Amino acid sequence: MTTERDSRTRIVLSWLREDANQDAEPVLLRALDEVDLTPQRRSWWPAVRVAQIRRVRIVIAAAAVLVVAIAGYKLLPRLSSIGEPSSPSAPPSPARTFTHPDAVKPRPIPSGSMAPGTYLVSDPTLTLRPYSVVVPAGWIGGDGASRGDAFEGTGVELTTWLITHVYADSCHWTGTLVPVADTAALVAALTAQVGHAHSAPVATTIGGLPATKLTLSLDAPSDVTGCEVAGHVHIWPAPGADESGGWAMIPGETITAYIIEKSPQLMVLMTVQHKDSPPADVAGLQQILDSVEFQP
Amino acid sequence: MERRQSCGWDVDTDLVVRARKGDRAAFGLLAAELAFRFLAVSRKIVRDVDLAEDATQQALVAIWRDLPQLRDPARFDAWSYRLLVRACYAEGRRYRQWSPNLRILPADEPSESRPLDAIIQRDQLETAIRRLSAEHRTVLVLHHYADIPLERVAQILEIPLGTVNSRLHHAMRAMRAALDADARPVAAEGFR
Repeated sequence: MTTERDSRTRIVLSWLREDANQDAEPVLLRALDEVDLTPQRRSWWPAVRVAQIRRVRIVIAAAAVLVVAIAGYKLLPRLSSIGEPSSPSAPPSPARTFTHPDAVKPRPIPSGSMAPGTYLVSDPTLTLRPYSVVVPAGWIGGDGASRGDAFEGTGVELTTWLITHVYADSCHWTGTLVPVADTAALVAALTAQVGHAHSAPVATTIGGLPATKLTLSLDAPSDVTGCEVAGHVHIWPAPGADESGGWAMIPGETITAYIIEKSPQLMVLMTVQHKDSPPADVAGLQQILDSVEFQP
Repeated sequence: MERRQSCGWDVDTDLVVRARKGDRAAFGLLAAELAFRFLAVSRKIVRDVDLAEDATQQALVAIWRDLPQLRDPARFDAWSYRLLVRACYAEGRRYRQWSPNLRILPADEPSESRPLDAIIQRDQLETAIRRLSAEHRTVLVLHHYADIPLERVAQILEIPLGTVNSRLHHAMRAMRAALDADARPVAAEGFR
């Protein structure tokens, strides 16, 4: 048995370590072209240090003012009692709060781990209007925010898509693209789409914008093995009928799509969850969705 | 000029320092050193040529963009691998299970010179590795393909060493099981 196990291990390792000769030059050239257009993000820490020094100075100054005020307060009654009655004091001015600009300034969503905070999505290939979103700790950035294992059907995600076409049949999708030009057409296409269940469309608002909410779901025991590619259904392609990408659903997945129209374009802001998504992650997803705010 | 080897390849820290200061020519040389290895590693993780190319490109651009934030050039190797792994995960999320125009990995193409058993065996291994989660696959590839010590893998992925060991154990067990006589049928194309 040990010999068999060792033999299998050797086969696995040998297969894993095989090299395929793929030309990396095209990728390198594309990356360098993009680098030419990409500014470097300068180091953040000197700025933080400057901000901290400023904050320390503000705190020292505020403390000094407070000491003087307390001393004055303690001293004034005695002085008043010596001489004339004091005049009525003026009403206190409204308290001024200091908010450091970095604390509220939204950042672009990074690719990878996200620090908790407010983020801004403004990439026109992702959204028709820039929007801000507040993300708690432990989420991963990409086109939106996600958490958990998206590959194993337990993850949760908030993301956006620009939509120009929808498949009429999500299971056998080839040759079934339908163009959609407005909300009514998109709702009609998605609710008529073969291969999954859907809710009734509901007029609502999301992030301050009017939207139409529609839920698409594929039950966990759904048999999608007979679909064009076994295991999943295809909902829509990438914008412009680009079928090299798009959104696919797997059994157990539920998409809540908020359709937003900015004539003549359409987008969906959507949450994605799965049957086995941890409740805490689903609650976090709802919290993130609730924080979405589109810019005017 | 300091040269070191800790993640399976030599990193020219002088190039890292110059690139960090915004020297595009230095970054070009650095990227040329990284591109082939990154492409090979990302292909092993995402199991798709196009996704691997996109992930490699994204990782190289992210390295350039964020390099000024790397305080210690000696940590470049682990840091750059971390960006590559994140790019692979991001590609996987974006295009998960979606590959109508999949370009089959050249190493996986059956050839007439290969015995049938070997082809079946490769199909079984391919099926098994696709069934692993991306996290398990990443540990397997970084350690057994990129030849990175487990401690460094833990640093790259920012997870405890025990978790790395556990993922590696699980992944290897699944891969070995794929070679059993009752191995599962070939999986559908696509990235999982």
